[in-house]
Amino acid sequence: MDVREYQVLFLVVVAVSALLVASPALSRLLIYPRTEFFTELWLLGPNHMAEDYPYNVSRYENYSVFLGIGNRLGHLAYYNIAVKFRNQTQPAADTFNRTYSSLPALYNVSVFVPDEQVLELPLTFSLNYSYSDVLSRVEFYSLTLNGVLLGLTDCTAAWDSGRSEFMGNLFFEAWVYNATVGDFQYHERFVSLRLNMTV
Amino acid sequence: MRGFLLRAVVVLVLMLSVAAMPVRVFAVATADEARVAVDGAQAQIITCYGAVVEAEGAGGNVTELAGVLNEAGVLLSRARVAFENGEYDVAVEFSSNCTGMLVGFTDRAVTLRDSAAHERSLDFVVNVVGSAVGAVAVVVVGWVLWVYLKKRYGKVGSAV
Repeated sequence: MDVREYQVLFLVVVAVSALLVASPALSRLLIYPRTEFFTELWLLGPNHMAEDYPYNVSRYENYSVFLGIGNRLGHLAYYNIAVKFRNQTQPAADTFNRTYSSLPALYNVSVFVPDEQVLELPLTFSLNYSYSDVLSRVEFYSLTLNGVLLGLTDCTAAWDSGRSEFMGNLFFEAWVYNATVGDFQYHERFVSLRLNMTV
Repeated sequence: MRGFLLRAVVVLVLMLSVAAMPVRVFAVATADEARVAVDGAQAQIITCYGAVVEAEGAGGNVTELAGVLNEAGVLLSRARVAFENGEYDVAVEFSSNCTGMLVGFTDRAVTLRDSAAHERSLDFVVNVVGSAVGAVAVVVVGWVLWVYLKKRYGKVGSAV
């Protein structure tokens, strides 16, 4: 018997064993670095599905949605979700220009999401408004969000004959805290709900 | 006489009940006081956030601490709304509840950071250094074994 006949087999066994033993160290070294850092923002309907979103709303009626935030920024993120409401003529956030709405926030939700984690906020809202026969328009008074009453001043919705609706737009802008600047910056993400006020 | 006694007992019980109730001092906060309270709560949250980011950077699991921050954030949001609505007392109350919730928070975050850093260094020694040294040892042992086998059985093989 010549042991050199088993040289290749021996080398393979030693190499595989060495690789197996080195695998914890290799797993640290051979990680593909993360190159994209972003935030996911979504809105789900009352059944936790991307359907059955409230559209035709009635005065004082409660509606539920879920606002989801997924953090892929690489660190714990401090978000400020600005809740805003607008009619068809007021400025909206712009997806293409990546700009936020100049309207003041009715409410700011402070949210902390660890890296690679997701947080879902259940939101229940109702609207108080009235319909003016004379002016043929809807006048908004308040929005109640998760039990917090928020005033809607100087906000009315005219009849949109093209869409056959009195449009109100509830939207949520994501702002993120920048520790370097020491302030919140618009994170170029928003989600919105288009609502029709039934009269 | 009996009715008088009964009434006296009832009055006494009522007085004792009122005396036993927690006394709440209704102080009227000014806009400036409320603003200071809300800003203070915001500053406190940011300080705590920084501490948690450090703990996370050291490899700590910050899910629980983030949950506390979220609860404090709800109170801060309510304080802001109350301030905007001119309800300064309510704003001060929410702000103090918010800061009260965060008492000792940074210490927890620092403890988590330190323990995470310790675990990380231990993990590095065991998994990275240990496995690298182990792999080298496997190669060296393999080589020594090969030399030994070659000496012992190689000669036998050539003799045959």
